[in-house]
Amino acid sequence: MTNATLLLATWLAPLVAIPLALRATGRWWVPVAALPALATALLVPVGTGVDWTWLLLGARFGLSAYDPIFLAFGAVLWLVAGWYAAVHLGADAQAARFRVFFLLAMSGNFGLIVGQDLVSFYLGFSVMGLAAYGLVVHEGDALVRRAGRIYLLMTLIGEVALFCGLAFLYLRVGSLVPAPATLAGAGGWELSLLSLGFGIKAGLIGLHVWLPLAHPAAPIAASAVLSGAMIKAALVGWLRYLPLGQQAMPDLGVGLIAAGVVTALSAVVLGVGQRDPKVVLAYSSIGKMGTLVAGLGVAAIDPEIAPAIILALSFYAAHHGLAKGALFLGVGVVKASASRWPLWLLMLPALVLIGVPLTSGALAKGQFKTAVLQAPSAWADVVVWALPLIAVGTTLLMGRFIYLMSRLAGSSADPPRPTLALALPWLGLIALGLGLAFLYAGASGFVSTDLRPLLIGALLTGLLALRCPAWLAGWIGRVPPGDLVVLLESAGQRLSARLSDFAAGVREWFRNRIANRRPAGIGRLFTLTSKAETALAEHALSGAAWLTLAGIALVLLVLP
Amino acid sequence: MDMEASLPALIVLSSLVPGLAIFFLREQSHRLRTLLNLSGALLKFALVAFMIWGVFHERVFETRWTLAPGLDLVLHADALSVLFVTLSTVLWLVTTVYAIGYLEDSPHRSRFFGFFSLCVTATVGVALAGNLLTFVIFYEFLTLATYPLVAHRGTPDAIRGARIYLAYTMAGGVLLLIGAVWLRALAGPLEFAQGGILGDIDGLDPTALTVIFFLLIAGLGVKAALVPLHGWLPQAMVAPAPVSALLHAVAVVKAGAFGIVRVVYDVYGVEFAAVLGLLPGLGLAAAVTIIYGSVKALSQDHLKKRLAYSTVSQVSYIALGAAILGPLATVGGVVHLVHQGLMKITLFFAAGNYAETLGIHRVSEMDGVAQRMPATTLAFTIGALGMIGIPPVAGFVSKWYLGVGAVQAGAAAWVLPVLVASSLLNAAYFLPILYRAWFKLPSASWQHRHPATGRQESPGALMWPPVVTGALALAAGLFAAAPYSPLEWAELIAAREYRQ
Repeated sequence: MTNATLLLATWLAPLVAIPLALRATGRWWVPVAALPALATALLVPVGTGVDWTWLLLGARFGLSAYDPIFLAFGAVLWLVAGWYAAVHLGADAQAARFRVFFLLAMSGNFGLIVGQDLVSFYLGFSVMGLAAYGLVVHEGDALVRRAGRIYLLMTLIGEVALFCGLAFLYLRVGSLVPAPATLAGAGGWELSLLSLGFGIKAGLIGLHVWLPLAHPAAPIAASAVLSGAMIKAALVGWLRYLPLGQQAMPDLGVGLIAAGVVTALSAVVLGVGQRDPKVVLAYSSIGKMGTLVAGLGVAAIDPEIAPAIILALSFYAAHHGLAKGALFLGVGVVKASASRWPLWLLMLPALVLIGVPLTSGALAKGQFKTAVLQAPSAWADVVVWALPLIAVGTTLLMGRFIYLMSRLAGSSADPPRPTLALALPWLGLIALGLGLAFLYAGASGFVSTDLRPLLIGALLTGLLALRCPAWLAGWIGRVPPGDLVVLLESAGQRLSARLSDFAAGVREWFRNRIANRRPAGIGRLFTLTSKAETALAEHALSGAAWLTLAGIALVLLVLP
Repeated sequence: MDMEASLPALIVLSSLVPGLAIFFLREQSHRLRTLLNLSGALLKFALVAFMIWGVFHERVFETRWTLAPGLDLVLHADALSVLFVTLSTVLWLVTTVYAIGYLEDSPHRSRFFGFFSLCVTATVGVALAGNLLTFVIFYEFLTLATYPLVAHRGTPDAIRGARIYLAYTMAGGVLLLIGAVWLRALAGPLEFAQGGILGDIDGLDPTALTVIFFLLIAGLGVKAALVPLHGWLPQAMVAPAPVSALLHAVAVVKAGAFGIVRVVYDVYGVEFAAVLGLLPGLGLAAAVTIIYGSVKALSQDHLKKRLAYSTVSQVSYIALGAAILGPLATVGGVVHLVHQGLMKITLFFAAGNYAETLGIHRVSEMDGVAQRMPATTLAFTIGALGMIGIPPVAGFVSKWYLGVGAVQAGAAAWVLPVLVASSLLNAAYFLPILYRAWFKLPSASWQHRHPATGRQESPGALMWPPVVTGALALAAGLFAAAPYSPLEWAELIAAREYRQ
C-alpha cells in the first residue's frame, strides 16, 4: 500500500467501520479499525505529506516530527480498548451507540495526528471531543449525565478558544500548514488562546474539573482511551503549534511551569482522598499531564534545549498512555474476575507508572530529568525540585489505587463475562508496556534511577496502610471528584437562590407598591424579552406605520 | 434573441409560466400539477447549470428592457447572482418534492403551488436583478407572493402571522423604495458593479449617502430579520413546513441578506462604505442580532420557533461579513448565504417530518425520536452541528472565514467574542435537542399517539429532501476547497469586490 492510502485509511477506516459495527455481530470491526493507524505509524516515513487540495480547505495528511510516536501508542490503545469493548459490551442498542461514538472518537484522534493542516487538526480535535461525550454519558444515570454536561461545556469552551487561537496563527503565518520555522513571532493572544484550548483537554489545574468526573464516568474501555490517548491530543497540539525551539517565550514558559507543577502536586493531594479507584486514576492522569506541561514550559523558556525536551515528552506520553490504559482496563478485569491473579498483575502497570528501575517509567523519568537539567533557567530548577515530590506522590496514588482495587476484586455486579477474552488485550498491553522499556533501552541504555523518592513513597504508603492518623483519615472522601466544580456548582446554586430571592423581593415590592394584580414571574430575562417581542408583534401595524413615518421624517430632515 | 440576452429571462420564466399555469388547474389534477412543478424546477436547473458554465467562461448574460429612457429593467448574471440563483434553484427543486409529499391530500393545492412558483420566480428575479430598480421590483413581488403562502392554512393564527409579516415587509419595502429613488435621483441609474459605483461619482453629499444607506439597510433589514426589525419572523412560522423551509433558507430572509450584500458591495462598494464610516453601524446591528436571536432561541420550546430565532441569529453572519472590511470576511459572509440555506432548510424539513409523522411540535416531546426516525434525525443532527460551527459541516467554513477575516481587519476584539458567544449559544440550544433525540428513551406522548415498534420513517418524499440537503451541507464543508464549491465561488466574488 502506498503512503497516501495508509494515511487516508488511518482516519477513514474507523468511519467506514461505523455501519459495520451497528450490529452486534460486527463488533470486532471496532478493534480492527485501529489497525491502519498502527500500520501508518510503523510504515510511513516521517516527513511524508500528501496533499488533498479539494478536501476541507485544502488538507495535508502526513507525519512530522514525533507524530509516529503519538500515532503508534494511540493506535495500540484504541486497538486493545476496542477489543475490550467488543468483549465487554452487550448486544443491545446502547452498545451499538457506544461503538458508533467510540469509532467516531477514534477517527478524530487519529485524524488530528495525521492531519497536518490546521483545519484537519481542528476537525479531528473537535470530532474526538464531541464524540467522547457519547462515551462519557453511556451509562445514562443522573451522575453520569452531570459528568457529561460538565465535560461538554468545558470541551466546547476549549474548542472555541482553540478556534480563535488557530485563526490568529493562520493569519500570522499565512498558511494552513505552517512549517515549524515560520511559527516564530507568536503573540500573547495566540499563545494564551491555544494554551487555554489545550489546557482544558490536558486537565490543567483549574481547567481540570471535568476530568475526574468524565474519565471515571465512561465505561472502562472508554476511560482507557480517554486517559491514555485522547488526553494526549493536548500535547500533540502544543508541540505542533507553539514555536518551541524557534522563539523564547518566557511568560508562557513560566505560566506553563507554574501551572504544570501546581497541577502535578495538587492532583496527588486531591487524588489520594478518593474512594473510587477510577477517580484516583483520573487524578493521576491530571498529575502526569501536569508534569508534561511543566516540561513544555521549560522548552518554551529555552529554545536551545527544546528538541531534547520534546523527545523526552513524546516518550513520556507514550509510556504514560500505555501504562494508564493498562491500569484502567485492569479495573474492569479485576472486577470481573473471581480469582486474585488479575490483582497481582495489575501491580505491574502501577509499578511502571511509578517508575521502578527497568521499566519504561524509569526511562521516561530519567530522560525527562536529564533534559530539564540542561536548562539554564532558574525556573527549570523548580521543575527539578518538584520531580522527586511528584514521584513520591505518584507512589502514594498508586498505593491508594491498589488498596482500593484489592477491596473491589471480583465485585462486578454484571453477569460474568469470559474473563480470559477480556484479559487478553489487557495482558498484551501490560507486556507491551514492559517491553517498551527494553525496546527503547536497546538504543540508549538504562539510566540510573533515583530510588529515594520511590522508597519514601513506598514507606509512606506502607505506614499509612498500617496506621493512618485520624486527621489524615478524615481527608478521605472529603474532596468530591471534580473538586472545584462542586464548589462552583454550589456557589452557582447559592447565587441563583439569592437571585431568585432577590427577584421575589423585587416582585413583592412591585406587587405591593405599583401593580397589585401583576402575575408572578416578572424579573427574568426571558420574560422581559418575551414582552418586548409580544409588543413588537402585537403592534406590528402601528410599528410599521411608525417605521415608515420615521423614514419619511428622516428624508425630510435631510433634504434641503 | 441570442442566448446571452435571453438566458436570464428564461430562468425567471421557467418558474413564472408553470406557476401561472398551475393556478388554472383543478384541485384534483394532481399529476399534471406535479409534472408542471417538477419540469419547471428541472428546466430551471438545466438553464442555471448552463449559466454557471457560461459565467465561468466569462460569457456575459444580460436581459435588458428599456421602460423609459434611463429606466431599464435589467437581469444580469455576475458571480454573486449565479451563487444565489444556484442556491434557490437547487433548493427549490428539493422543496418542491418535499411540498408535494407534505401537502398530499390537503386542500387548496393549486393555489399553494401557484404562489410557491411565483415566490421562487421573485427570488430568482432578486438574484439576477442588474440594477437597484429591478431589485426593488422583484423584492416587492416577493413580499406579495409569499403572503398567501404564510396564510395558507387559513387558521386565525396563520392569518395573524401573515398580516404581521405583510405589515413589516411592506413598511420595509417603503423604506427601501424611498432610499432607492433618492439614490437614483442623486447618482443616476444604479447598475450593480463589482467594487461599487458610488465611489466613482464626484460631488455626492456624504450625509445624504449615509442616510440613504440607513434607509436601504433598514428596508432590507426587515426581511433579513435584523433586530429590532425581526418581529415578523417567529410569527411567520405558522406557515406549512415547506414554506418555512423556503422562507428561512432561500426566499425572504435570504433576499434581505442578499440585498444587504448587493448594497454594500455593488452599490456603495465596501471600501467606499468604509470611507463613509458606514460599516461599524452595520456590524453593530449584526452583532446584536446574532446574540439576541440566540438568546431568544434558548427559551423556545416550540421547535419551529427555536429554529426561527436561530435564523434571526445566523442570517446576520452574512451582514457581519459585509460589515468587516477585508476579502476573507467577505468570503465568510457571502458563502454563508449558501451554507446557512443548506443547513437551515435541512432543519426545517426535519422539523416538518417530526410534526407530520409523529405529531411532534415541541422540543420537550422529542425524546428518543432518533430511534423511530433515524434518517431524518441524522439530517437534523448535521444541520444543527453545522449551525454551531463544528467541522466538517459547512457552517464551520463560514465561521472560519469570518474569524480570520476579523483578525485580518483588526476587528478581532469584537468579532471573535461575538462568534464565540454565538457558537456556545448555538450549542446550548441545539445540543439538548440532539441529546433528547439520540440518548433519551422514546417519549410517552408520541409513543402513545403512534404506537409502533422499530423504525417508522416519514414517506420517501419527506425523508429524502432533508437527507439530500443535509448531505449537501456536509459536502459543502468537507469539500470546501474543491472546484465549483460554494466557497470557491465566494472567493471568486470576493476577489472582484476589492480594488486595491
